[in-house]
Amino acid sequence: MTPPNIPDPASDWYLSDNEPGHLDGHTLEELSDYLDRGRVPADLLIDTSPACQIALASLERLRFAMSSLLQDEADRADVRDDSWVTAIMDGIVRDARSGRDIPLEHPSAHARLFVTEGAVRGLVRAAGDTVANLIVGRCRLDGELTTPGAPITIAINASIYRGKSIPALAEQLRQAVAAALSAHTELTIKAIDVTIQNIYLTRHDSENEQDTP
Amino acid sequence: MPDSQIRALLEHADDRTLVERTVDGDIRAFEVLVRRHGPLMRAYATRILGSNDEADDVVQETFITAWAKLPTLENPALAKGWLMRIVSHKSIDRIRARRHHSSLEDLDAPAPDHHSPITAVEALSRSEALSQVLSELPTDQRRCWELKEFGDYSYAEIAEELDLPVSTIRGLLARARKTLIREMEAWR
Amino acid sequence: MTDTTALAADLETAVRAVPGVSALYPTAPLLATIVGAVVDAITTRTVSPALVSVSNGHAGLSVSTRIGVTDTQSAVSVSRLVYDTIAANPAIRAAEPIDTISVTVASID
Repeated sequence: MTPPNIPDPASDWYLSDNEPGHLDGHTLEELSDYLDRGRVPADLLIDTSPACQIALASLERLRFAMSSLLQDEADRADVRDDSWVTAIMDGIVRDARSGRDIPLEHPSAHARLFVTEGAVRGLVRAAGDTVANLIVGRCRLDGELTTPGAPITIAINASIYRGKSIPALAEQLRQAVAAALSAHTELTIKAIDVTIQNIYLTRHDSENEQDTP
Repeated sequence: MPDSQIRALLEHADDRTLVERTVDGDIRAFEVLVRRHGPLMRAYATRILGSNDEADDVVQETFITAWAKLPTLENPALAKGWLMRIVSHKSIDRIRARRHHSSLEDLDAPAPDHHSPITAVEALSRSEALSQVLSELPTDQRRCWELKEFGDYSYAEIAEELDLPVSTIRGLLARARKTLIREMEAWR
Repeated sequence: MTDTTALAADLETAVRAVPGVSALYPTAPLLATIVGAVVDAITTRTVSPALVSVSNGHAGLSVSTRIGVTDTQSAVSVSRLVYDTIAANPAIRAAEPIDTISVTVASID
């Protein structure tokens, strides 16, 4: 460690080990903490000190450089082969989220037929994915799923692209889901509630479809 | 709908949608999350661990944990920070396992003497230069700094993770900050 | 006494052949953290845990299977067809009493 310098306004502040002498009584750590707090509550002494402002700008540059550094390293490594993704995905059990078993009727006393809640959720997602300009998020099956004939409400979160009609897309989604459920399950659907939780600003892929007015 | 179309659709989805679908058991949505955040997590783990192979293991373990634990994530929009936390944790666990003795051996080790000459640094990109300065920091300084900057840890959290007093963490970070600012301003 | 292992293998072949069945999943509950593929798609047959489980209890023979169904066919009818296929197997018919035959649709796609 170098011994503390005598304050010298002519020298660059960052070369000095006497920070308060160069930063109007503040330390670099204090300024860093101030930045971490989002400069809230505002500190008038820091905000009006040119020396502090220069140091804060420098700290922000460093922070930005740090985040770019990691991103650069990630981008550089990204071009390599895909085996790491495969390794991860292989470790995931496909039907790990099967949820409740929903009974299906059968005349035989020996028969125990079920469709899993997870399979029904997958079905709802797949049906929702066929509706253009919309993407399904969470899907919940509310009701006594394990009791045959019990009324079930399907609650679906979805995001849509900006400029698309919310009611029209919600209705399309309801119809697609209702059709899929009646084709594959014996559920008594009381309602399909659609919540539009997010509106996409832009769509990144082909813009060949016309926006709904 | 063909698989490729669903994948394209999911690639445009935000993290919240992907997390929600993952929680519901959508393995494709999870794969998009893995591809979206995996490289950054891997870069981070590589920094902390200093080894690609170990980083791969850590990232893989992280995603397997994430698959199991995602249903407990309260705000699905914060998935990235949450994943980075798990990576930090698992990386630090490995480091702990690695050094079974003299846990603080390099705590007070001075930075290597050879200062990277500015002329040599100029030829490098800013990231490469920064990376070089980072690599010249004493290990514990570097580790604290990376946890704070990349893992978004607070002083107290770093202290807990590294089993050191908060005052020590403050000191290590202050020294790292000083060195980095000094070097960065020099080659600006 | 029924040879359950041979019977399970026999039933597995029969279930795979049912139209609309796209996959068989292990019947034992699995940890979410198991590393290594456990899904055995029809096209990639590998060594895997029992995909049709057959067990002898005091109430008789129990058979259990978890299937994936293609969405071009009704999951309800495919599951019944799978049940019928298992119930019609000569070894099952010979192995009275039957306790339960479980068919669970674990995916539709």
